[in-house]
Parts: sequence; C-alpha cells; structure tokens
Amino acid sequence: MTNGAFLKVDNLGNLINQGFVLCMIAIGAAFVYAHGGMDFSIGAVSGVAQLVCGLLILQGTPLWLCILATVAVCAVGGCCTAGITLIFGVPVFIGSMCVRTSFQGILKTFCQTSEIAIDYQKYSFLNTVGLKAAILVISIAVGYYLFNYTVVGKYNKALGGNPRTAEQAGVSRRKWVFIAFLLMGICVGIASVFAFFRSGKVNSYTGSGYEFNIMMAIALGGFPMAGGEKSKISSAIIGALTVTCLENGLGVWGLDTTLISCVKGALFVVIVAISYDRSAGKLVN
Amino acid sequence: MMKKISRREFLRGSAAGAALVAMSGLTGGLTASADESSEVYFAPGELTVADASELPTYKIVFSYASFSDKLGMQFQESIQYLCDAYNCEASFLLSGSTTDENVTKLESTLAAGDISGVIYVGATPSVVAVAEKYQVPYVAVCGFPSLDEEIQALPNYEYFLGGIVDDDVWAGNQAMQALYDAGCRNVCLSGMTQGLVKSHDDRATAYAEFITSHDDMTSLAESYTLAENATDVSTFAASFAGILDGIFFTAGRDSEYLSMEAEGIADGSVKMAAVDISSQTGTYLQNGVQVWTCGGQYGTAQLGFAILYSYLADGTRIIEDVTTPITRPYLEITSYEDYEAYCKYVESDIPVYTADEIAAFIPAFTEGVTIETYEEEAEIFSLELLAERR
Repeated sequence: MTNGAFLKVDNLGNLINQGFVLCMIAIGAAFVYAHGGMDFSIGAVSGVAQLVCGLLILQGTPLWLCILATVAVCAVGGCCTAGITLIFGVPVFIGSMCVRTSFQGILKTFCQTSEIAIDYQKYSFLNTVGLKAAILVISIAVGYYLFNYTVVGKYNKALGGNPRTAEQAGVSRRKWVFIAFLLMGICVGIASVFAFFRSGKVNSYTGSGYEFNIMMAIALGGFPMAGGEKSKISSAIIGALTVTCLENGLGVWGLDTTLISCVKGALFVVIVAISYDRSAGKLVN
Repeated sequence: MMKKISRREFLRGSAAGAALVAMSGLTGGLTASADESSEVYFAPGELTVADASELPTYKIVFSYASFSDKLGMQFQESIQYLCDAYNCEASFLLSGSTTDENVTKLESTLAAGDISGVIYVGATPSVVAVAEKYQVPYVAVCGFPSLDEEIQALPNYEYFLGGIVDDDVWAGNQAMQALYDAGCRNVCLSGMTQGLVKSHDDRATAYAEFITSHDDMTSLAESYTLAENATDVSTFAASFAGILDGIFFTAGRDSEYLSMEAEGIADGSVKMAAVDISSQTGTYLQNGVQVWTCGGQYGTAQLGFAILYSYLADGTRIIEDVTTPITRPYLEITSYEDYEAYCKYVESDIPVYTADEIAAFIPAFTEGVTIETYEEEAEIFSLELLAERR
C-alpha cells in the first residue's frame, strides 16, 4: 500500500522516534493498569515536566540536572494521583482528573503568554534514533523483569484480579498501588525528556492526548483494562508499537489525517468491546 | 457497585461513541457550526504562459490547522486551483495541536518519498528540520516563528525557503483605531496562546501598544487561548457587564458572534473588531456591531506557492534572508459596502491570483522576477487593485 516506503530504513527510524514516548509510558502504565487503575493526568504532568526542563535549560542548568528534575516532576505527579486516590479513597478516575486539572493550570499559567523554546539544534543529539532505541531496549528489559519476576508486578496483578483476596493474603494495596504510580511517573518522566527535545518547545498544549493514546495502546495490545493475572507488559508495549505503526503507516500511505483519527477511534471501541470483562461487570476497578 | 449492563447496551453506547468520533474526524471538530461551512469554489484556472501538460508534476503538501473553517477552505481551494493549473498534485495535511504532533505528521507524510515541496502555515525549527531531513523545500505562509531564538535558527536549514506573511501589526493597529473611532474606551482582547504563532502575537502587541498610547482607553482583560474565543465572550460579558464596550478578536470566527448573541451584547452596546472574515461578518457589519475586519490571506498562500514553484522549477530562491518574511497587507473592510466588494472580488469563483498572475511571480515563466517583485505587489495590493484587475 505504501510501495515499500513504510519499511524503508529512515521510516523505521521514524517509528522509533514517534513511538518512543508512547512505548516508554506504556512500560510504566502496565503496572498501573495491572491493578485495574488508570491515569488521566499523564499528559498534563508531562507538560509541566517539559516546562520545568525548558525553564532550567534556559537558566543554564546542567543537562543532567534538567533531566533529573523532569523525571522528578513526573514522579511527583504520579505520587499525587496515588496519594489522592489512596488517602481520600476516591476513585482513581477522579483522583487523576484532579491532578490533571491542577497541572494543566500550572502549565497554562506559565505558557499562556509565551512559549518556552530552546536551541533545537544544540540538543539534537538527544533526538537520535540510536540513543532512543538503546534506552527503550534497556527500559523494556527492566520493566519486563520488574513486572514478571518481582513482587511489584505480581502484587499489582493480584490486586487487579481480586483485590479483597490479595489484601487478605497480606498484599498491602496502598503500598503497591503507590509504587505502581511512582514507576509510571518515572517512565513518563523519561518519555517527557525526549518528547521535549524532539519538539524543542513547550506551550500550554504540550502533552495533551497522552493519556488517551496510552489507553488505546493498552487496549489495542490486548492488555485487560481491568487488570488481573492476564496482564502482560508485553501487551502494553506491543499495543504502543501497534498504535505508532498504525498512525505512521496510514500517514505514509497518504490517508487524510482526519480519517486516521476515525480509524483509531473505531479500533479503540472495537478492542474495548472485545476485552470488556463481562463476568466482572466492570470496565475498570 | 456498578450496574451490570448488557453487551447490547454497551455496544449501543460504543456505536454512538464511534459515530461521534467518526463525525468529529470527518468534520474536523464537533465545535464547527453550520455557518462556518460556507462553500468556497474557484472555477478551474488555465495557464496560458506555458503548456501545463508539459510541466513536471510536483506533489505539494499544504498544511494548516483546519480545512473546515472558511479560511481553511480558501487555503485548500486556492492551492488546489493552482496545482491543477500547473499540473501539480496537491495534498493537504492537518497540522496537530502540539509541536510533537506536527513533527510526527510531517515525518509520516514525507516518508512516502514522493513529496516535492511543503507549504506550511507557520514554521518552527523542529518541523522545518523534518523537511530538511527529507531534503524537501519548505515555505512558511501566513505564520512565522514568534521567538527570536527560533527565527535565528532558521538559516541553518538549507531547504527552508523563507516565509511570506500578512501585516499583522498593521491589522491590530487598524482594528483598535476602528474601535476607538466607534467610541469604545473599555475593551477586551480575545487572542491566541502567545508564542504559538507570530501573526496573533503581532496583533496582540498592536493592541497593547494602542492602549498604551491612548490614555482614555482601558484594557479590561486579555485572554490567550487556542480557539476558545466564544468562552472569552461569555467571561467578558459576565465580568464587565455595563462597562465593556469593545472586543478585539485576533481571529474572527462565527462562534464569537453566536456567543455575543447568547450573552445579549450583540445589540450594539459592545462593538467588535476581528481579523479574518467569517460567514456572519456581513450581517454584523450591516447592523453596526462589527466595526472592522480584514481578510484575503489565501492570496498570500498563493504567493507562497509561487515561491516554492520558483525553487522547484529552476532552483531560484526568491528570499535570500530567510529570517525576514515578505510582509503583505490585508484587505481592509470597514463597512458593508467594503464587504460586498470583498465578496465580489475575493470570494467569487476567481481567486485573488489567477494561474497566469502567479506565473508573473515565477522566474521560470517571467524574466526578472526577484523579491522586489513581491514587495512591489505588496505595496499596491488592495481591494481597489483587485477590482481593476477583474
């Protein structure tokens, strides 16, 4: 359909560039979705993190410190969502929306009157395919190990499968849900660093849409939306890669960009309908 | 405990959701009102200075935020008109809401490998870098980077051919003068997120400078959002009821008129001035609510086509200093009579520039074309000139 353009070397590089953010977030999101949670604040938190990165760079802060700060902001964002959900006992949907609104407000306050832009070419070395591929491979390996071979993944899956039984078996819901959100925050932070250097600027709409793209990736990969023992981190990553390939492929093919959105939306509905946990009578915990 | 729903109920809801998404995708957004979808049509143009069938077929991508509003349709139809006349293939790319999205969409489009050139409303180094990577020439039209750091980075890209924009500082100043002359002294600004695109920034800057230079005029509020002008009207009306007497919109949209009507301030108590013409402009000029507007930007996009084609045809670079765009005037409308003339000469089935008129800006067809040719045209461009030509 694309006359071979999709599989060309430079387009494969594009796939890594375009899919890096979604894949990185998917690694962390697997832990949250494994216990049946979700997070609508990813985009707003990432936006603020990128804002912090940009402001620090413009101040002349060493690059390593800027990166650390970006990841820290996202980790804090994840902790806020977890904290609101666990401490106040509100549904995670509500908690994440609160964090989303707050962080969006911060982003708009700083960016409403001016974008933040850096010297794009100076930091282009952070936008290379090789570097991103290496970081992605390492992150996938670490995430896979944590999810499948440590209690982090196992306990979150247990909480997703049957939270009451898991808690009665001694699994602390507060502790492991908090750790899941913290891990996701770190992954969002790493993704935010590279997202910022890919665009070179921050405005009040930076990060918008991340949460919905990750939901689609999770669903498309066959990851059960309600979590549980059938959760696989590979599903989340495959879903992220699938969404990236779908968007890229349709774009290379020349499909109208509005129709690409239609295709994504229709696919999302179909996948959710198929993966809906009918026996439990719920979409998410 | 959530009520268990049947699969039929869920799928019914999902089908409704999918339909909503599909409609949103097809119409370019649920907020587009019926009034914004006025027909734009240009009769097929003919190139007489050359045999179009013998011209090479270039595939040109034009990118803008929306092709469902009036300006977007004018952009689309005028570029399609020129591509048809010049034996080129036009492709239209919706730009995204974030820079990352813009980079991704352009990357995927250029990866197909068959694109000859890009005409983009706006320019930012990361997006221009994509065109550079694929060695595809890029022209910025009706939009230029706002931050100096970004502008100074543009010469680093060999395939960036420069930009051609409309005089937004002039537009902002004229709009404010019209409001002032109409007796408005307590005004609000409804603009676009600052730093996003230079055109809106310049209009907002002109607003601020006018307020500063007129002691008897007060700025009650300034709002900078991405296309939330209708909400701004509601906020202004509620916050400054009885005080507000004028609003300057950096982008004119039908939703603003509708919002003014809904808030009960379309009775003449509040005047408005806006850049861009929409389908309700005539009505509001007639009833005196709107005191000023301007438009005709798609002609600028057509000249962007000429700049790009000049390079594709024989490598001619019209603009040497790519940090300074060519600046052209808007077509000013201050009365219903002006609006009628605008509709007759700009929104008829003959575009602002015919195929042959564009050839006069391309060195491959017309000897001696330089940047001065464009600048001289900019100095004389007006509704009166268009009337003479037609």
